[in-house]
Amino acid sequence: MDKSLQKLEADLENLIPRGLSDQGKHQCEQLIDRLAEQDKVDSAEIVPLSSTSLSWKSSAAAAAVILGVGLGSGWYLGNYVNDSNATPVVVEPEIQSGIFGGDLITTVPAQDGKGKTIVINGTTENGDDEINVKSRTGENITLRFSEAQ
Amino acid sequence: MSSTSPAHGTAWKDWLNENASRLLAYARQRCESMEEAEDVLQDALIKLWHYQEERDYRPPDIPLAFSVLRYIGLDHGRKKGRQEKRNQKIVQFQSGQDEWLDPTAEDTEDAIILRREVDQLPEKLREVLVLKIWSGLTFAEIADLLKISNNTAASRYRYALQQLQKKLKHLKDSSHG
Repeated sequence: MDKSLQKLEADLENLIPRGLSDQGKHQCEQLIDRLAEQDKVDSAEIVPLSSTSLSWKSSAAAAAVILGVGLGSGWYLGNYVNDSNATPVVVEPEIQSGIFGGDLITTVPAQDGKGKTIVINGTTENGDDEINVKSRTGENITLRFSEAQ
Repeated sequence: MSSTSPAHGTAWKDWLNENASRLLAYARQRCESMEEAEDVLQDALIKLWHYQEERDYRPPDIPLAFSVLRYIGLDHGRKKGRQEKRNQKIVQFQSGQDEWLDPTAEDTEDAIILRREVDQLPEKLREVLVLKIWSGLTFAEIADLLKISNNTAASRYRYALQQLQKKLKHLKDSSHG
């Protein structure tokens, strides 16, 4: 391997993977304690950290959704479920606006700090963690917002 | 059948402390968030514990841990796929805090770009890169885990590095151009 690739390797090794979150560590340790006590643990009993209390509000007059782009920390547009080649896009965290398919989407953190307010073409939808919308072409699309630990 | 004791629990916790980061780094490749990756890790812990019953509940060898994690991760992905409607797209927005490579206060621009570009590598290349760089497996162990040849593992790794290098060069040239 040439020196430039070796340098790249070294640069990559300097990036440190994230460890368990506090909650994750606590949950794992509790799990180990239960297993050590010969408690029969079924994975179905474990409350997933990724589960969110979904408060849906299906939008009757929905719009196509994708946010606009920006570099830096903030909201991260993940891949479509059915499109593993989609490129993640990072958008600014505070007030975010973008246009997709001619529809303007704006998200603003809610005043009480819980959830977000989503405005689609001027119509306000209160989103907690997920909101269903329908695109102009009739596609069902779910916007899922999450704060990572 | 072996019986368990608190000492086993302590040994496993120590093992987890030592290995959680690299296990999570790999689990994250199969998940959409760090939280999901932690869920997958917990499921893997349960399975591993039961596997190790015949080995006096010793903490597992790392290759076995990755093998179980891979299986759980694949299964998790399949279950998730079935839960979501086929004709429903899910656009996932996550805060930048979900990065599985820990950003630090002194991050250089190169480090930020590198983290982003690693995430954008094709899955097969990224998987080998993660296993080699951050999970600490050898090419032989990676090959065994992924059911590929040693040569294929090494090739994918080299190709991943080349792809990253090419992308970084292109970005730098674009920003200076």
